[in-house]
Amino acid sequence: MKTLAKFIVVTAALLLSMPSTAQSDVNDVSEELKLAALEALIAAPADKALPLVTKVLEGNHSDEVKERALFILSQIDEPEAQATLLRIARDGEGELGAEAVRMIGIGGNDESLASLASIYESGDSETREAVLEAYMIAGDKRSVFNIAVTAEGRDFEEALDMLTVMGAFEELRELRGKKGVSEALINAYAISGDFESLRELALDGSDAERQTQAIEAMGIVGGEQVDTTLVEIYRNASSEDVRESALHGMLISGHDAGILELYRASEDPSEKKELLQMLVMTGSDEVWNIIDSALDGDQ
Amino acid sequence: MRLSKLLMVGVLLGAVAWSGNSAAGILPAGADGWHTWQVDEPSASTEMCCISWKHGDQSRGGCNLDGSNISFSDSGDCAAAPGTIQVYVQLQNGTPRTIRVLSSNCPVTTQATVTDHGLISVAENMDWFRGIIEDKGIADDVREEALFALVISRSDAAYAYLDKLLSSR
Repeated sequence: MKTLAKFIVVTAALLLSMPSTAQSDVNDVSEELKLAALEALIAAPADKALPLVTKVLEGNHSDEVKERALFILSQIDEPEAQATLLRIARDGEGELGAEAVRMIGIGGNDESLASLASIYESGDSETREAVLEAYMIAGDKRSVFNIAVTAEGRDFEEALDMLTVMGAFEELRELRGKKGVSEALINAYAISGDFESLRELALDGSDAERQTQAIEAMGIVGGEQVDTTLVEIYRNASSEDVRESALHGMLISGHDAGILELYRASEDPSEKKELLQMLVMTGSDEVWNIIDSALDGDQ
Repeated sequence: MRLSKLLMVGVLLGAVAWSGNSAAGILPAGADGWHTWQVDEPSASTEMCCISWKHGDQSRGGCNLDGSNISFSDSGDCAAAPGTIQVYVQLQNGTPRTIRVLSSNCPVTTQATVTDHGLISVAENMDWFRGIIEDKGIADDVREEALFALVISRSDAAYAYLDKLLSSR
């Protein structure tokens, strides 16, 4: 009996003293192998993958492993998978919750995407940012537009930025009617290359500040149409501010030829001086021709 | 004396617990070229074969083991027999370079000789795959192929192992 007890103790000690792999019965318990196993599950049928992925998400694993599990979950178009994603998106702490939100964007499930609106409303800034990213990933311009309509301040600007990144011309134009013209919206038009919207605002003298902002912003869009319009605006300017904005717009778009054309056409010495200064700032080679001509007494 | 016997028994018991991951048994050490074996896996419900695409239409083309890529399908278009899988392994000095898992009646072509090891039990097959997957000395892409092969086999034994792997600490 005594011998048997010793035998059991020794055997147990030996087994316990073996590497932890013996306890888990897996020789390689590395993070990399788990990540590879999760990635392989992309080829698994939903009924086989779902229990494994759910177990990983409920288990004591690193954020990286859980984030990979979230990706696999996002690819399972089953109500249970989507419900789990939404639960983690709502209740998950920190980066894991935000990652679940982004994965809903990658998965592209319409119902889950629609649920992100309420998560945006109740979420912190990290969650709200993740919701916008999810909509961007899913290409859901309308949902970002809906957020932009009700958002204020920084949230509004972030929604605008996202619409700009998404190239949502129509939604950005529609926002003008819903929220009015703002500097942020003008910048969005500029970055998204919406020449038509900027041109309308540039020719609208009802709000001088927005008009001059729009004229300068046209320079960011650049191109032949912009260059021609800026020269026209300069020539027909009703105020010094408008003229100066047009000049800045040409400077931004790099329209040296337009400034040179205006320089040559001008007979006002102070205006010529200002235009020449502008040409110097553009680094145009024409400046040297003008200086040569001036020295020769031609101009 | 009695203690040394006890220790020996303990070591043997430990070795038994340890030996579950042995990859030996199916393939001879240092083997080269393509090897294949069949596994009766009743829970392997999928039909795995290769497809070819011509003018937008897909058709069963069989798998060419010499190709750098195979257009794999488990869509069921191949009318292969579920419940049986055929494992193909390309070895170099005994180390796996490529692993393919197909349905047994999926037509396979290759310029090379394929050594057929016949029917292997589910347990032996799983042990071989575990040996590859858990061997850090084997290239990552081959270990990943082994994981992928287990997943697409859809067998209960494969998923029980994946569960264990993902639960391990």
